[in-house]
Amino acid sequence: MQEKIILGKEEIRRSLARIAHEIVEKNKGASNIALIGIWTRGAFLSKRLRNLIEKIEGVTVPAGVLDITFYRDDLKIRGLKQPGRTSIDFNFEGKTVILVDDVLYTGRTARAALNALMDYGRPSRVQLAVLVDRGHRELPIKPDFVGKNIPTSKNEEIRVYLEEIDGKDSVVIRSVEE
Amino acid sequence: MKFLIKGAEVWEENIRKQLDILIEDGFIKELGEGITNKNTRVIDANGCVALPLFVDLHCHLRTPGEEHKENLETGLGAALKGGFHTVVAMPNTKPPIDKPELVRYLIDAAAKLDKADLKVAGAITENLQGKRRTSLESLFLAGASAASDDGYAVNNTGLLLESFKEAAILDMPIFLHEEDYELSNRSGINEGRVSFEAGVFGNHPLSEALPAARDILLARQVGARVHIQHVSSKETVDVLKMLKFKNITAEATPHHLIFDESATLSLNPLYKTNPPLRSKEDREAILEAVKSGLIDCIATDHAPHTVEDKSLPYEDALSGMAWFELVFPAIYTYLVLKELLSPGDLVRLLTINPCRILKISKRPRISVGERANIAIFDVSTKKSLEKIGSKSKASNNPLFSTELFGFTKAVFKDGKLRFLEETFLEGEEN
Amino acid sequence: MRHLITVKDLSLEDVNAIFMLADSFYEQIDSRPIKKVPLLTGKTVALLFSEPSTRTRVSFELAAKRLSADTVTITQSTSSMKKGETLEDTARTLSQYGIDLLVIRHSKAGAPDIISSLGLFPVVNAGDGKRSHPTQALLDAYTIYREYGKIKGLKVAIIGDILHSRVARSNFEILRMFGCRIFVLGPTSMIPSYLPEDVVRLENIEQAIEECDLLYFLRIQFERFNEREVVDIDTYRRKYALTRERFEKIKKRDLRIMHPGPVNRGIEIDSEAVDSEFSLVFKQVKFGLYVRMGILAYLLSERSEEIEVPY
Repeated sequence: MQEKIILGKEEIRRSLARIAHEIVEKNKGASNIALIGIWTRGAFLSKRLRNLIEKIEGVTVPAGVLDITFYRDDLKIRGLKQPGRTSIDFNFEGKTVILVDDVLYTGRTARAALNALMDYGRPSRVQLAVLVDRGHRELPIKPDFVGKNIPTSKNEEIRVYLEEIDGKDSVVIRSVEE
Repeated sequence: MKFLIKGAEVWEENIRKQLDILIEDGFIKELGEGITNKNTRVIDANGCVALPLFVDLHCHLRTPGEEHKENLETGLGAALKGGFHTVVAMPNTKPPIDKPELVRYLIDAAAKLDKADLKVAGAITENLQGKRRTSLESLFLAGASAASDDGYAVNNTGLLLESFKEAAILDMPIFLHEEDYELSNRSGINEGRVSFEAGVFGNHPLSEALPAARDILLARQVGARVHIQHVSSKETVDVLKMLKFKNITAEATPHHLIFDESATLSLNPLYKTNPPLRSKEDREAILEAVKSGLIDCIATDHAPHTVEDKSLPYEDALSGMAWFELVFPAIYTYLVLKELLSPGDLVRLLTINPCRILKISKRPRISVGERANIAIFDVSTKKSLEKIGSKSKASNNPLFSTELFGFTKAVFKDGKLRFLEETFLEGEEN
Repeated sequence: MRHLITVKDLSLEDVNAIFMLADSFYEQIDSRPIKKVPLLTGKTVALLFSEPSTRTRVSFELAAKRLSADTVTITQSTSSMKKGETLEDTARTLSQYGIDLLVIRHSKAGAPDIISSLGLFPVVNAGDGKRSHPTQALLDAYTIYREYGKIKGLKVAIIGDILHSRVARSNFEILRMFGCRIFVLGPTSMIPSYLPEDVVRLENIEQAIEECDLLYFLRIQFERFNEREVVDIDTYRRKYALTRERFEKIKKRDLRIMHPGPVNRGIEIDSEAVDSEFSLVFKQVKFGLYVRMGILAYLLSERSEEIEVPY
């Protein structure tokens, strides 16, 4: 299986920095927003975005983690794979919540995340930020902030590696056997 | 009509040898190696064993009253296919066989069939309730071969003593299901590890041994012939060791010889029997007693039930296994192949001793000059009764779909070929 | 297709997976206003109860509902089931309605096995006769794990009416699986004549308090007594109950006490102890819900198609 690097460490940093600026711009500051990352990689990306926004605005925005395992419509609990832990220790009622994920593909994860989010509270608005949009949507979902659009075919796979859990920063594309 | 059975290994009292058997006009004309004879119908029995037909002291034919479980045609047919010449039906029918007319009715009805012969055990007490004695004399005169309340225990000692006295005068054997209900809890699970894990009241092994000891002492007092049915515990074996004398005989069932209580742990109702399967040690003691002759014979306790009766929770399900067609395959596969029983043991346990107990003077015997009463079993291929199809109405045996060696190829009874390759042959032309 | 009829149907790996699911459900749902996840949307869980039970039934029903499964409850007296429709036919009927899992409580040991052997849908035993109550054992073990942070090696005393207790039987199995040391204590008339070899019989409750980490009290099941089985309440109180005086020693040793409920207050345990911080009785109830959610999710998720694509 051949892997091809599409984004390197620097490109990921620049993409996130741009998203952070766009978030601040679109929401006219950072006073009424909250970041919620989708477990797993979205959670680490949202922490990075929080740090970037803090540098730009001098405001620490609340950031949480949302596990959507039990909201998926395609669940298979395999062996001992630990479901992630949701951790939202702030009230986002009346706030703009920015859901953060690494890859946007069919839109099913985003759909599940929206449902899960509503079970935790009532945000005034929800926006979606993703590092990579690879297309092939199956649901009417559109991201508000995109790091990079990568046209793919269905038998290709996008992998996002992050320093925090994978020991490196990169986005790769590889084809999978049918 | 001449038949030549070729290639079977003959199992007789002191014979285990591949011999051809020539049958002429219903009698064994020749027994030897390499027999050739023109104008005979040859039955190729290579890979088979040939045994004298069996006699079963203990079965349930459910007739009259529960013909949906078994009738005489299917029950005696299954028995014939299983290699049985004669079977003794227990009286726990609906109504029970506690009157001479019923004994006569059964004997007459069975005589019209070209299947296994029927002998009948008449009830010891009216309606099998253990309260009022039947007239053993009138049952005996009507043709009953034994007296029994099987399925139920008689625990009224005074009543038993009187019945024993009467039976002693008639020289009628009494077949006893031994069970102290206060100790058995009427439970289908042995008391101990399994009853603990299943969380049900256990059946104490002494529930059988205590009344057995009592009845042997009573029999000794009045000289009655008492036969202890389906011995299930080492304690009962011990009682036999201590107290058995010439008038006392005993039987073991295939299930108590083949299985033990560990099979009941799963609470699969197919393993529910009365008395229950007991421990490994109990099974070993029974096997040893059967080998040594302390237990005289193997009796099937063929107990046909419907699927519904066996699909209830264990405690509610009915007891017993349907055995006729599986007796030889099961015993061969689980006991003979493992050298726990020898071919000679089988002839003694399934033919010689049951005949002795019933005082049948001319037992089925594979010997020149004897009538052909021969069962031929195929021990070279494994089959399951489920696939072959059973002749009994019932399938309630845990081995029903298990592949076993030793299913029946052919049966000669009273000189005639009565069963060949899954087909019954009737009438005189055979 | 997996069934849960006795604890023996589970491996340690299965139990750990169920516990992990229970952890997640507890953490995600317990403190938030909307106590429901859509995991089992569209699934139907049938509850067949032929023996009185409120606690277990409610716990299972809520567990199913919090996973968004539909539930249907059938209560039948054992006698009418025996006379009328067979258990098999009841199961086949439910199968025609497309139910996905059956939870069964029955007064007769082995009743769940009759249905599971048909292979129509997963069967969960919610208690059969005096034989088995695996979900209670799982929730007990889970409660111990939440409270002690481990289960392995703990010394557990099970006290009281062992004879009639399917809870005790199932707990022996699960505690053995986790490598606990198991002790029993109770009136001679309530200890079965057979006990598993690894179960140690204690002489008195003081021994249990001094030597064990956890005391598990059983309910005296008066309704299961027959004419040969006796218990004298005065003697029971004097020798085996958790009285106020004994509770003082428990506090001193910082032990925990458990009970499957419902508690006969003032018989097995005095109220003061039941309601104290040393009692896990109500935690057992709370965790029971999440453990049963874990069981349902575990048994039902295995039937779904495996989908690799995580995005």
